[in-house]
Amino acid sequence: MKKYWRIFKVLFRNAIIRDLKIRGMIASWLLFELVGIIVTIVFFRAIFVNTPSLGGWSFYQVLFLYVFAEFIVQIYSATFKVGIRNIATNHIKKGDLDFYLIKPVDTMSLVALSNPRPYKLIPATFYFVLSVYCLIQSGLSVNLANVFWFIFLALDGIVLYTILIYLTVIPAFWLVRVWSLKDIASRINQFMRYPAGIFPRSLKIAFFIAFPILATSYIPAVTLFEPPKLIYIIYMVLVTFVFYVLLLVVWKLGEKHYASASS
Amino acid sequence: MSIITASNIGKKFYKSKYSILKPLNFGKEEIVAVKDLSIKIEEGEFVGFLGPNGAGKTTFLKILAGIIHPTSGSAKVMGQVPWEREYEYLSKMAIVMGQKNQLWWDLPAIDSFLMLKEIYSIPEKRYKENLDQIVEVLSMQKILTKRLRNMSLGERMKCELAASFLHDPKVIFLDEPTIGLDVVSSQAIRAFLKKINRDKKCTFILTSHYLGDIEELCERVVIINFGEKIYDGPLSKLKGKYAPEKIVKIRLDELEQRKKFAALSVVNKRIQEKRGIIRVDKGQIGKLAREIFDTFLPEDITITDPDTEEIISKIFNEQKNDLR
Amino acid sequence: MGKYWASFKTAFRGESAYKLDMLIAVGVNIAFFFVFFYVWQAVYSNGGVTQINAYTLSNTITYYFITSIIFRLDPSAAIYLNWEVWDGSFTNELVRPYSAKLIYMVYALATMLLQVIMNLPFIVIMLIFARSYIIFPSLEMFGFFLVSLLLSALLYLAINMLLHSLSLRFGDQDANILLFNYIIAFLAGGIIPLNFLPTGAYNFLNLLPFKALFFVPCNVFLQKMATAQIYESWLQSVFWIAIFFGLYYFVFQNGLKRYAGTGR
Repeated sequence: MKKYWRIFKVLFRNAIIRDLKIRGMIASWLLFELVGIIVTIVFFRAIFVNTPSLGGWSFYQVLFLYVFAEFIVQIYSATFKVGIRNIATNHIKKGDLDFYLIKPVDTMSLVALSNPRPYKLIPATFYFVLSVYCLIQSGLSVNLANVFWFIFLALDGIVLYTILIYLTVIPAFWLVRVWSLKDIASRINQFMRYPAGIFPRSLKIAFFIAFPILATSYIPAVTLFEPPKLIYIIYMVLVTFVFYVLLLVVWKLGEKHYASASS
Repeated sequence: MSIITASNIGKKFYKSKYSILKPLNFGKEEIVAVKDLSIKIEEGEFVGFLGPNGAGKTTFLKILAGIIHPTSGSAKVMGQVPWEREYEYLSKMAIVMGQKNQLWWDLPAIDSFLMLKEIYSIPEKRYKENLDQIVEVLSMQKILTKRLRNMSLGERMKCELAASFLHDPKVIFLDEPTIGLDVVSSQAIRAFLKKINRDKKCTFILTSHYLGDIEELCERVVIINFGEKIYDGPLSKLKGKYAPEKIVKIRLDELEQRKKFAALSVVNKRIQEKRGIIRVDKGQIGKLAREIFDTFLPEDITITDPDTEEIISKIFNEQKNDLR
Repeated sequence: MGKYWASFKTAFRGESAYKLDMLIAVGVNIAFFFVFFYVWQAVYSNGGVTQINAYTLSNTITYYFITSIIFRLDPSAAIYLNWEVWDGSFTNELVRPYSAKLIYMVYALATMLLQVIMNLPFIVIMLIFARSYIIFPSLEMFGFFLVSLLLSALLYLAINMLLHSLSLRFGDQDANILLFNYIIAFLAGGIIPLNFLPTGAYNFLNLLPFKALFFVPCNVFLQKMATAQIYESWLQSVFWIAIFFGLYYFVFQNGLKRYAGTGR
């Protein structure tokens, strides 16, 4: 663990130095996030003019869920996104995975850690602040138990999200030329931004069990708004474990199939 | 016990025949990259792998490095099965690929080295000693703080080599390490590799299209073509066995010289761009030498062994059975 | 003309070598349609409303169905000008005996056409899924819709060509292109129908040229525009297409003087 932390520190430090040199581009990306949240607020305002609730949730609860889901995505983007995405775009297609495979560390972890984007922590912070604001405005009473379990499940949600996105790029071992695997993540995460109550049963089964993207944001949020339920906590831990094992198995199969594009 | 043993290693790749015009065609085309390749390499050897493009050299190298799994056969490197990629094995091997970078593109070289120090858990003292030694031998002082993307190809290769030796590997795989480098850089790298091989008794496996690398570094060569081994032995024996001849070149600037050349009693001779070229068996060279030194000026005469490149090309074009 | 047609065919063939790529890229975007479908279904049922600003649930679902199709005409992913200026391969187009300004549009049109073809199975999927909600117009209105769609595609192309050409003058515009396309999509009614916004906002956005990208074609399909209004919007579209292409030409010419031909 310490070894991976030290590796990450070196990469993170250098990523900050790199990001400071492309301030203009980063400013554009941050503006993009800001515009995104403004558009989202306008969108939800337009919806809530016509309905008191969405999937049983109030305006501030829905907005909280949206920004919390974005917070998870930004944390993932700041740490693992580019590294994992490179599996689908470069590592397998160009054979760059070779050097990760021959290092005496866990290849999956090294690849994931290889390209942090620290500037994404800025919008993450913004989403965090906004989510606190939404929580206060919602008027719901939140006690320590809610907060504790929320933090626990939020961390679990980030881990689960990372595992699920990793699973979407692993087919690159077999579909070598398919770049668009990297885009699956940003489309699928649309579902985690809205209350699960609006989706039909079939979709809930699909996105809570078969590919539990809804669980990453919804379960932690529910734990904040309602008394924490043991069943949710067990479910989250179990589903994270199951999908982690699945990821390991599929990765091993992929490694065996890896053909290493010629130099 | 040999440090590397490989028995009947085979590797096949499969290409799908599916196309949008033939949507029901789920067949696969089989491509044999490596076929029943067996080899034993002792500790401290410097072995060169030769073969034309697509021969299977790099594929075989990657199997021994543990990057890809073979379709058949078995191998052990330092007592471990490479493709199981045990950390113990990975900590003692290294691979350098001339056309790929293992170092981080956006990081200064020294930071990449620090990363590798953490990855390989190299003790601080050993890291410093190795780094200082490598930096001195490769004259890398000025480029340590440069980012990889700002380096020339030669500088990048030096850094790649340096990175591969920080953790004192016992087995090093080199896949075309001097490709695209100028003469000075190539020579520096060869000198470095020779020194490491001598001082640390590391085992090297080198693939290269530059015969200069092979001739200078490798005592033993393995020639691979169409995925099969067609020769395995000393380079000198290869020349002796396959091209037991000498080449005599004579400068023929004047018409008179050309007439004398035409009158020589040798059969296998030709004129090419004001040079007469004679190929003669080694056994006959003494007799021929007397004749040509009597006829021409010594400064116009050159006697050499056949070009290694020429021999290798000949081998690639011949039946492999001749050399077994 | 022959060389542009040859380039169009080559670009089309080149892009179609990555069919699976494109299929996945087009396919995953269907997620947006499903999400908006369920969101608006919940809004209408939770709110107990039958209409929002004269839009029934069917109108709203149909609106998003059409915007999903128009988003697939998005040329920002079909134009490589920004990327090629950045990596230096733009030089290849400058040394060939044709107009570099025109050739990137030709390439983009080829890719956009392929995107439309690749989108067809997903249009069918969306139709089957939301069949009880989607309202089809009359044949005449469908004809008007196709013309509006074509003008929308051209306007979208013109705006993006202009954004991409800024890279010649100001460097990599990747982030800005994404940002502006996002803003434009909102201003054009691609994210929410413009008449769902407050009246003041709606009136302001109605003055901008971007409504022709999404709002106008959707409303033509929904038969919510009179014929005179449709003709007026076409004239406005043609006007703005000319303006944006003109700006593109000017910025491109100017940018060429600064182009240094360096790669990454």
